[in-house]
Amino acid sequence: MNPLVYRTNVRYTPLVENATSSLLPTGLPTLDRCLGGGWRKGGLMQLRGTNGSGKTTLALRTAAETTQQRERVALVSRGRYFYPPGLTAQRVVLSYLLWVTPQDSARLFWAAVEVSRSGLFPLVIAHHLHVTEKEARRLQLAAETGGSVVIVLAPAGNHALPWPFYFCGVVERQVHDRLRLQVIRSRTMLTQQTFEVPLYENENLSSPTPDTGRARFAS
Amino acid sequence: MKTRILALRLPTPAARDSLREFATLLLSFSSHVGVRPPDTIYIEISQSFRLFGGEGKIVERLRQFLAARGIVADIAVADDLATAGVLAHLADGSPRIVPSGENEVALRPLPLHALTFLADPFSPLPPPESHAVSQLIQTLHRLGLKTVGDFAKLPASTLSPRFGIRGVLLHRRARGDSFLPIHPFEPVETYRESFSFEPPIGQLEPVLFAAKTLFARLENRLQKKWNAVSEMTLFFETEEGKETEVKIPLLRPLRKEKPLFSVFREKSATLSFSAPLLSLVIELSLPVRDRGGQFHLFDSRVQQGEQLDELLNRLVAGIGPTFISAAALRERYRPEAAWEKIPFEPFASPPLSVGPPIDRPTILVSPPEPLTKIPHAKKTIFRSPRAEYDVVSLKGPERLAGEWWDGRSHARDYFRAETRQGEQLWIFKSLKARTPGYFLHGYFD
Repeated sequence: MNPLVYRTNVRYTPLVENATSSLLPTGLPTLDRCLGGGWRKGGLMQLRGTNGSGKTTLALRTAAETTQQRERVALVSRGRYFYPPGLTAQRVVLSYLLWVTPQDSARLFWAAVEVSRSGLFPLVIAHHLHVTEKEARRLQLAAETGGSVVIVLAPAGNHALPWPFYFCGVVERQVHDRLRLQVIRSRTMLTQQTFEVPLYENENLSSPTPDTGRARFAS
Repeated sequence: MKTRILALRLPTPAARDSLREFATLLLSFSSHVGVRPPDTIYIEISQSFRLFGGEGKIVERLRQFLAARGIVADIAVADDLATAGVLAHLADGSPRIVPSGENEVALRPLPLHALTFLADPFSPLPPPESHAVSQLIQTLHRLGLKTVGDFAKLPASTLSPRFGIRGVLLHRRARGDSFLPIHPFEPVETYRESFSFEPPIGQLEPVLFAAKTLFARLENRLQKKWNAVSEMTLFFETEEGKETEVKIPLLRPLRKEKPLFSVFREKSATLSFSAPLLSLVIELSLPVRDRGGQFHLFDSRVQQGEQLDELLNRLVAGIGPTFISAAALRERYRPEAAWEKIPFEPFASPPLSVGPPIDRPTILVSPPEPLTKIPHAKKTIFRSPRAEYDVVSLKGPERLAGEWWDGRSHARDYFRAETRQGEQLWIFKSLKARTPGYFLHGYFD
């Protein structure tokens, strides 16, 4: 065969980028649709809200989705904060959860960076983490290096949002199993949009009527 | 060939601190070495007669070996371990060699308190057991017995009803016919490398450079023995003559230079010294067998496992082992006791099922925050030291009570409260008279 003809007959098919591989499903179908498939890997997200607003539940639904795919999740917070039976109630598989609970802010930030950069945890949820712009940039670079999604839970308020954050939303509870998410910043043209997110779509996870007898804990 | 056991008792506290190190050295005399903390070493010497030329020569060589190290130990040789051990403990300074078959004769003149040693030749008795043995000895004294020989003369059939199984076993040992095997001693294995700084240095960079070299050497040594280590100890000596010891427990065993060095680097960043450093010694200990993993072309779990080990150990070096864990549920009615910390085992394959959904908050307030119910005609308002909650709905109650058996009895009625601002709270009403009232216990955040 004429090598020239052979060469001209070769077709180079451009690699089709798999759009979903760069996204981490949130565990909430409605939110996935709003975000275009999920949280962006390598991105720094912030969820704001008052205590009891549902921001932690929103993050934990992603943790549930991730751990049920047998992937690891890291929870980084100062002291004991998250309540494991409550996590189980959100369908999080505890065995895939690493708890990192340093006692001071400096070590908390360092641990968040180390875990995010390692590439071993597709999802890192951080609480009590107050970052300057420079620290946010370091954390975002660590997330990018490790391909993790880092979700920082923050109190409600108009405090400044450092520029490295890819997404910021304010969470408010509508009724006990439905949240309202107002997007303050997003790099995917969602800014200033508001979504209603049902927490327990397609699942039999609506809050059960409590027994008046003895309570049993999930094992 | 009949078994012959040599027991030696280390005389001084300094020597006893190095009991395991001495036992390791004595492996050059026999492969069967055992220890009885805090001060006794047993060696089975009958297999070594040909090597050393007989029993007497072994004893002499051993005495010289110890004397070269400044130790004058009490030595006894007998057919069985218990006899040799008790004779070494009651020796008067010169070696005591009991001819074969004469254990009972050697034990006869010993005082009754020697039975305490005979009760357990492998370790000092724990308090309940030692109390029982001393009561037995007191009983024997009251009966007019004075020596081990007097006790050994008692008919065996009369012992069981009076002294039980303990008395029967002691009687056999007092007659010298309980031939206990040595519990083999596992030698202490540590891997140690050191570096001296000339001149002394006051900066971190040269220390890291030196440490890298040491870890490379240590990896080679560990690799030859297929060992990983679970503990790292660092010794820093300063120009002032002060030595600082830093122990780093490793959450997961490590063998390779890179992860060991990264743990060292994290830890050394937290240390400070008052004077330039003269030397650095790195000691790796608590070895475990580790043949490594076969890397697979399409399965990255082995590489991930090594990376995870490195990350976890770096986290431990940076923030301490108690702050890195996983969690597991416990079946307890008291909510704050319903879970526990467990080690993080990332490659176990646990079942994915999480049980039926239970209404529990994602955040627990610990300790529960007392609430004051504000009287109001139309609203339900709770006030805590930090905030006021205007409750629009209360779901429940769910009664959680019990655990009176361990002194932590509780009786609480739990409610899921929704506030006007949309917050979801977990509130309980205490039904105990000592701590009545309402408390905020969590948030459904």
